[in-house]
Amino acid sequence: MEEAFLGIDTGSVSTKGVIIDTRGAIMARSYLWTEGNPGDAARRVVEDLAGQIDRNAVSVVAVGTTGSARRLVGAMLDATVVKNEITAHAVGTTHLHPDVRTILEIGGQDSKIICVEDGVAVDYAMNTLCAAGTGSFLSSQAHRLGVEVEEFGEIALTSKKPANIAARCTVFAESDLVHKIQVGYPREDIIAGLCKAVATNYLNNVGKGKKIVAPVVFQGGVSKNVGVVKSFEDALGMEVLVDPDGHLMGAYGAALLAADAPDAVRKPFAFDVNDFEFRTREVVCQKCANHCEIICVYKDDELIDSWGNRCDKGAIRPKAKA
Amino acid sequence: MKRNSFSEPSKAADLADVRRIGIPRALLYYRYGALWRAFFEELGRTVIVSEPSDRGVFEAGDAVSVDECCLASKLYLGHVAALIDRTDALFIPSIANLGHLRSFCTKFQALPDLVANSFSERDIRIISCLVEEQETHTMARESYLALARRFGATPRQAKAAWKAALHAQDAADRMAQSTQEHALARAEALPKESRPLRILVMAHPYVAHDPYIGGPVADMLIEMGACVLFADHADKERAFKMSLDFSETLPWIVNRELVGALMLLHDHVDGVVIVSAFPCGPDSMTNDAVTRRFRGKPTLVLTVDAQSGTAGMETRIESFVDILRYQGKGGYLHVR
Repeated sequence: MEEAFLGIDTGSVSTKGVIIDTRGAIMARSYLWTEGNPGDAARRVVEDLAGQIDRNAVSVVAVGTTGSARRLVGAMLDATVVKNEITAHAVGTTHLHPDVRTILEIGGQDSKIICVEDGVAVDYAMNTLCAAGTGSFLSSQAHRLGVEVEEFGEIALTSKKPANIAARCTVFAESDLVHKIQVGYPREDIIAGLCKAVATNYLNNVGKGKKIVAPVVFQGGVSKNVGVVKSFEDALGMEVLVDPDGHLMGAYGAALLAADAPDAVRKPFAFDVNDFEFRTREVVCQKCANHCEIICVYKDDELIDSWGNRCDKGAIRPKAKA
Repeated sequence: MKRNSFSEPSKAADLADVRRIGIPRALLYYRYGALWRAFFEELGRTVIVSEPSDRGVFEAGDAVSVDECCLASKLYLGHVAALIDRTDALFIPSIANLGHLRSFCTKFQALPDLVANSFSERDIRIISCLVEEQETHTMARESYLALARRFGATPRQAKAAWKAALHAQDAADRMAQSTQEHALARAEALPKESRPLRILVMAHPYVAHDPYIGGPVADMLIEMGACVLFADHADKERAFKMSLDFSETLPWIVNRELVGALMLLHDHVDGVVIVSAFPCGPDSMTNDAVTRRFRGKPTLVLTVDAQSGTAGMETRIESFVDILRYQGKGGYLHVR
């Protein structure tokens, strides 16, 4: 039986999964929409991945989870490793690009920058407060312009003179965009302007004060947009690498960390996630005025994990296994 | 506009009837708590400090506060609300500065007015005193002595109260400082492989130690096995002097002490976590300068506002601790 490791990255917009072999090569990949239901998305990703491998020859011996729903999905899949997305991305990317110095990432709802030295992250930043310039912003603008967001990049590349669009704030960007449409700017110039605005906005906010050193790797859903890639290259004056598996780097990093865990903590994965019903319940703790919202995860009717309490008074613990 | 008791012509012993004095557990309480308690207790009064912050306190403060106030001052108003019915009067000093380059945030000077006007229907009895040494030379000592007289103390009793107050605060500061120095020495005595990460939490004391604002940050770091040091537990006078090398013009005393502490402890820490309550004017300027000046030491800047759940904070702190840990190890994966 060949040993393998599964990694899942459950983001707010999309859920990504990979299965890797002991050498770190990707054997199966999956990418689908979270659709507001991370538990179900993880289940679908697992199913998709299971269909891509020969389960009689390959055995998944450890699972790693990351992304904003890492804890929930980690509880569901009885994961060996539950890791934050910064570390997971850094692990995955440095494994594929050992010489990388800067990782740019723009996802559906958030964006981040990770600075790397000698193969280890030394600094990072995440966007705060607003989602301007992320994938969701581009999708909503594509919708307004009546084009598929997937076509955005190609259309942008045809523009000779990108329009100036303020992307500092989604609200301003929208009104700016509407104005430019109404005064008759060509569509490709507007789209190219939007791509440029996303890159500029990113560098001015998330990238503020960070030294961007080549080689630069760009990942996350928005890295699939060649218009934004070109805008980054123009703004930085350096080549920006986009890996075909770039959108899977969080999941890949989680799988690598699971593979790296000591044998003693490995938990073989039976792909039986469909045999159980998982429910989450929110309990508002009444023990003090903080009223912490405690998330409880149940597998069938058994509590398997809970979190969200600020102090021990609100701890809800799974029953000790007999 | 309501007037504060300190701005009225001082009547002899007009506060003699006040027995129970309320002190909100917020803002400068975290700097002068021991001083205030000892002062009033020495005058024979009962001091009632509000309970530690929680969401209920914040919501009460938020309800009476204007939007522009920072998270910490909204909390302050919540603590005021919790004390009104339990005390005869509230002690809300107006502390502007302790001299040149030793200013506090303007809010601390305005606090008695802010409270009086925010609770205008409640008719709160506010006890105050002004400390403004830079322009009007209203010195802390004279101000507190005059306040003691209004409680009916003789000049001798007033001096004794002030002395006891200074002594109590000094003892509390020394205690915090030596506890921290010992913790650091213990951590540094360990061999490199088993030494915990030493992380400096740089924040206004009312942010760093308030269980609703910055408290969870230190708790998370400790839970992750770090040795947490607080910038406000360093030697304040030494830190202040250090800060003069950082900036000749920075006007705020607390920010100076925090920056100075960072300079004193720079070589003894693995990373720095800067925490601010949103929106903070002095911090927005200082933090930016700090992150530019002290490159090379991994630094995480966290801004806490009312909306932020602990989940986003947890991801950021976890990522930061990972960065420090894996850097120490020199790589992510074992060679299998």
